[in-house]
This record gives sequence, C-alpha cells and structure tokens, in this order.
Amino acid sequence: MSLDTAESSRSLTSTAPAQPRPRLAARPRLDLYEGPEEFLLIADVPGVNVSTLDLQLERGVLKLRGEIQGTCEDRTVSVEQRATEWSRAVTVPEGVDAEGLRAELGDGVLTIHLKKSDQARPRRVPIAVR
Amino acid sequence: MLTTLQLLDRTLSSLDTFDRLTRGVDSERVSGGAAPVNIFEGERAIIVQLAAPGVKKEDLEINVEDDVLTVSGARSATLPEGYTALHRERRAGRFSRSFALSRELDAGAAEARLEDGVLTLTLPRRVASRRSIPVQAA
Repeated sequence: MSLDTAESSRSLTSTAPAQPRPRLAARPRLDLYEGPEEFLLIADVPGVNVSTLDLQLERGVLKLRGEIQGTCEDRTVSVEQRATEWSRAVTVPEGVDAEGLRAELGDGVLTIHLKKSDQARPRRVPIAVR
Repeated sequence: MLTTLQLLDRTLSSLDTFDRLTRGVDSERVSGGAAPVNIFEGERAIIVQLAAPGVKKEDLEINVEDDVLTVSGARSATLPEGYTALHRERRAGRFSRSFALSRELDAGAAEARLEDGVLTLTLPRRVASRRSIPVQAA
C-alpha cells in the first residue's frame, strides 16, 4: 500500500518527530427528516469509522463524538478542515422511543433512526355517531 | 433543561434543540459546494485529502490535464421515500476541486483511495533519474 512505503522511507530519512495535532472539535452538518414511523438524523462525519465513533443517549440528549483519522505526514501545505473530531449534541423530543434508537455508519455518513413511540404516531380518532 | 446543559462536556458545541432543528429547511445550504481539502507534504509524496461523505467510488472522477488535477463528484439530494425534510445542512449536488501540480510531481503514478467518506490522493515526487547520453563519433 502506498501509505506503508511512505512510512518506511520516512523512517530512513526522517528528522523531526511528528507533532500530534491539537485537539479541535467541529460540528458535523446534519439533516433531519420525518417519516410516519421514525425521525432520521443524518450527519456527515467523513474520516470516522465504527471504531472511532461514540454515540450516547443520556437524559434525553443524543451526543455524538467521532475521532477523525489523522494523516502520518507532519508537514502541512494547506488545511481547510482543521478538526480532529466531530462533535454535536441534539435533544431528543418526547415521542421518541429511547429503546428503539438505531444507527448506521458508512462512507462517512451516520444515519440515526429515532423510532416514534406509540403515542407519537399519527392515528385516527374513532368518532361515534350520537 | 438547565441540568441537561450542565451535564454537557465543554468540548461539545452548543446544544441543538430538536424544535430549533425542525423550524425549516435551509435551502441555500442544500446546493452543491466545494469539498474541503487538506494537503500534506511527505518525503516521498504530496498527500491530498478531500472530504466527500456519502459519495461512492462510481460518482467520483479524477482527471489530470496539462498539469492540473481535477477531482469532481456528486451525491444526490433525494429524500428517502415517504419522508419530509425538517432541517437540512448537508451539502448535496456536484463538487469540483482543481489543483495545479508542480513539475516535480509524477501525476502518472498517482494513487487514489476512498475510505469513510475521505478521498486520499497520493502524488509521488518524481524520482531523480540518471541517464547517460551516448556520444556518436562523426
């Protein structure tokens, strides 16, 4: 792999050790959709995979934090995205089934399914004829 | 709600309340835009990292023409069937970034890798080669 050979050639000629990047959190962009059975919270978290993502629901607050995989090169030419982690918190409304929370991560996109609780789902009110 | 705010780690950004998110679709942000790029320099190569979340390999195009490298791609903005958008921040549509390559880079030996929504381009420096030119006697 190209990354492996870059590392080995660096070890032969490297001078200064690589400096760890200062920690900087950025808010990922997110979309919110509503369907009849659930809400969908979709966040762009490029550079994060399942092993570096942390998703927690605590007291009605959904917190996501994902560490962005860094590069092994220590000389920077140009940086437009300085963040080392994605971090965002969203309150979860009433009417969401906390047990029914599911999430999927692929291609740097996190999709969270927030299932509506029974009371929140639209339902017909039966009308009796007097 | 004060208790909830106190529990938040200070490294987390400000809390989004659900109702603030449901207030409307920000259509301006839905249009396509440039993908952010980080460029690093190594002993052997220049590394270009481009954030392209949700973009598949088939929707990416990398071209080199006249010492200009262009990366372009697209991802659709279509909603999942039966869902309405309450809030949109993620960019969709086409993006394109171009870079002028210095002569010392060997674009022909470039490698591209797409992983977790990040495209990593490795552009190796040309290896100095030595060539002897034979002299012909007249």
